[in-house]
Amino acid sequence: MVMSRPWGWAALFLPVGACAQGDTLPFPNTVHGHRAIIEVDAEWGSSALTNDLAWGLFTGQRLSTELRLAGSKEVRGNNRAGACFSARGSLAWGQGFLGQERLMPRISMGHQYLLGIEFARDAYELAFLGNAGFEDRTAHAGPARFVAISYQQLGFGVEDRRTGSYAELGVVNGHAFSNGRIHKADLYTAPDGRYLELDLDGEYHRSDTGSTRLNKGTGAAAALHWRHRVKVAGTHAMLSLTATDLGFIAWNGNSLSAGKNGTIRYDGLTVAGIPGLEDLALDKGRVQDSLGLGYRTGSVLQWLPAKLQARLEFGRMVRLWPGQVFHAYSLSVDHWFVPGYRPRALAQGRLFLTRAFHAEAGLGYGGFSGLRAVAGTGTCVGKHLYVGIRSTHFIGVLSGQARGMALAGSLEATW
Amino acid sequence: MPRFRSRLLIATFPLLAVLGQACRKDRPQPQWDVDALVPLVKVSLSINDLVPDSLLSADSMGNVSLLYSTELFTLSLDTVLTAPDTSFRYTYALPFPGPVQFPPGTTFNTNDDVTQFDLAPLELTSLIVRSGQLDVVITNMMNGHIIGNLSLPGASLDGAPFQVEMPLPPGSPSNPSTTSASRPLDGYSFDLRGPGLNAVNSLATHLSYANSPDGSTISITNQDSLLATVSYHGIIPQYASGSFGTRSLSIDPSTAELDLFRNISGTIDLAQVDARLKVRNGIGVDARANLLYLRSRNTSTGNEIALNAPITNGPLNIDRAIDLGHSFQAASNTFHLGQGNSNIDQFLENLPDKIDYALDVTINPLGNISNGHDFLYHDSKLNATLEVEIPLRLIATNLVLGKTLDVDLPGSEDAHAWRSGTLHLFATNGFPLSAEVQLAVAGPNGQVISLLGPGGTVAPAQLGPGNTVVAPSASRVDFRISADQMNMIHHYGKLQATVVFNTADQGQHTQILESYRMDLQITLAANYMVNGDE
Repeated sequence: MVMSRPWGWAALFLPVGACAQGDTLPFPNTVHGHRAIIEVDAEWGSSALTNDLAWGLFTGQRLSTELRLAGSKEVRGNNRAGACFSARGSLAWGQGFLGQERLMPRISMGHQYLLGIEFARDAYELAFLGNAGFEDRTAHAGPARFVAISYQQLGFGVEDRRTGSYAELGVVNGHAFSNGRIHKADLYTAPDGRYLELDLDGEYHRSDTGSTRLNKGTGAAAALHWRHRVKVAGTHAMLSLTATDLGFIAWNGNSLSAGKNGTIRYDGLTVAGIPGLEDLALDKGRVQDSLGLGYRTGSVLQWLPAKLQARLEFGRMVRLWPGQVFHAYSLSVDHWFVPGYRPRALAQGRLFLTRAFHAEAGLGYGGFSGLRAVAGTGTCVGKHLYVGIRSTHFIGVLSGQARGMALAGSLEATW
Repeated sequence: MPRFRSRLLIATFPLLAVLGQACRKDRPQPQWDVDALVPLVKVSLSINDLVPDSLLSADSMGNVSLLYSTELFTLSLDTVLTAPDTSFRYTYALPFPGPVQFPPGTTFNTNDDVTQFDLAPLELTSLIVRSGQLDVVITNMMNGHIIGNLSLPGASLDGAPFQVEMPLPPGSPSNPSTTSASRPLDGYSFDLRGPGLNAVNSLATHLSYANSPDGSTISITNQDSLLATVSYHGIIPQYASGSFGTRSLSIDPSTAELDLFRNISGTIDLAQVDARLKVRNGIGVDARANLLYLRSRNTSTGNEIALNAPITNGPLNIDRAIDLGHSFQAASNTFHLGQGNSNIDQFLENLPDKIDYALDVTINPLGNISNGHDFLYHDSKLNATLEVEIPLRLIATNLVLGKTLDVDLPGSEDAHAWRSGTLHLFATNGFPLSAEVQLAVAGPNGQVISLLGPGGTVAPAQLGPGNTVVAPSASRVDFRISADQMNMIHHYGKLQATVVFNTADQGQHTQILESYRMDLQITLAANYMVNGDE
């Protein structure tokens, strides 16, 4: 087995120290001078694939046959998987902005890597076990969608000092991407491999692979965060709506695209005579070209994977210091426009063990995986610093057999 | 506040660390093995793909013949004519004690001579030099500035005769001065008939000395002398004519390479063989060749077959070329060899890779019948070529064709994606021959290291009347490749393919037609390690 030590998941995130996810942040609803936040979020989830398999893929291990066969028993007709890693920092400062004392200028920068995939059972079988098991049969590897994207943002905006609402516009540096949408991919493997016949309807795009430049595309993005105090059952509550990554990236003219809607029959490379056999080179590009799947180059415009979230915090309110107020309960719903991601709901409660230290627990459903347990903790350090760590897929941190894990941390300073 | 900022920095550091880890590009790639079943390659082979087009011909019925020629021997220019480096000395001294006074500008010696080249038995009357050089060295023992002049009235270039003028510094018997000069002779035409135009190998030479017009009167005694040495170096003729004499040239026993049957062994029975010995003579002499022997030698089996034919049993008279003025027209003599007058079929069925021969050639065996008009050009040569025409109507019995293939698979010996598996060879054979196929891992020198089993035989096509193919046959041959063998293939990078051919009908000859084809497809059922090449 790849994941002989389930706690190894936690080791991955130990260096994070203390980070936080955006939707877990305590809100700064009172007057403060400056506020800086650093957040790191790492999450992986799947409706079918176990953590052991994902960990092996991520860390570059040899995946055993047993592990892959076990995965084969779990995959269904339609499956999902995804992962994200983001790091983001923001700073709001100053005594006023645009002539308004309650406003602060705001700057943020962040890095985002995101992978999302929807795949069929037979796609898993082909990828992890091969096509030999489909001899004289058709593997239905579609429909499928996937996206993998990596980009950085630098944003500028304005923040309401009292509510924490903000609006931000920024530039986006596209580092790498690939995405595909396959409506149909039926692969027939003839007996003895005499030929392969692929009934394919799909398209694929990817960023420039021949360049080591960090910038392969440029775009723009906006982020909006609105917080408003409401009453729930006669008590104070806070409603927040957030939309992030509203934008696009124009990938440069060296980006690659391929598309096909038709049937491809492949019975080997055709060579001319004995010399052709002697000089035979079975390189991937030659095979790809012979199938009519050669790339074309050109600029590609891609929407960023936007994320929408609504969150309601209610119940007993604890105020740590100006700028740090917590409610005892929260409900949130979010959706990420990424293949494999389903609307996610989280419900959680917060227990203050001391005035400075609290623990969180809850349940959730959706996202890249299904049912999940939520756990977290946070503490104040001195009078200005708050450190929180949280997992929205806590069981997965402990078990290699689970189908997801998440760990996030935040570091927030107000002064 | 400074304390708070330092805490902020300390807390931020782990974040940067994990960011850096996540962005590493050299993270190892995950690996897993899959069982792949894929078509690799397909090829359709005709006789044109098995034998180079240049060696094949087909008649209107599509019957294929093999045409092959190999050069046996060549007599080139240097065999017939070699102009040796030659030096001539000319001495001048007073025949009496003297002294004699010579005022400036006085010519005191002229010497007309004939340079006789030692070219016997050739008697040349004309020679055009392709390249060569003339060196003149003059030693002066006279106490005065002398002008030496060498001219060759019989040598001219574009109508201008050859001439060298050399100022000679003063010298003395005890301390002579030496002056040298070199002139290229490229393109010069030598009239070797001498001054009287009635000799051979002779070149008129004129040497003169004079007191320099700018010098003073010199006094010469019989102790003073002038010594001139004229040397001809590296003369290569562009053209020569005259009488080349009657000579016998012995050609040492030699061997010609024959690659027609390279990598082939076994037994072949040819229904018909036609061969021609073509002798092309570009030299303006008659010749008579005596072919002492012509043997086919198979170095693999050690078998030798001597050709028994009229050309080995008697002299071959060879006609002379025709001089066209600035070029020549070679004479061609063809001597036919067939199964009716020779054992040429056995000669070739020995599958020789070498042909041994020995001969002698006599020039002008009938004497000077051209009346001194033998000639040669620089490009003139006498060569003999053996041309073979073999209609591919044969009986092949265990005819083995072996070939070492260089295999360049991705990955290395230690890391490669293809781990083990089975190669499937599917053949649709339209040839009237069966083919037993073996594959083996070969070592650096092509030696078999490990056989890929089991291999098998591709069945011959179905034959109808006259042993013509009426329908192709389908066969499948498998070759298992173990993990160890795959490692060896990556290590040595060579595969040895051996195909043993047998004609379907061993009782009578089978004609190979141009239309026959064999379609091959290779598929692979193998264990493939994803990212295994990295």
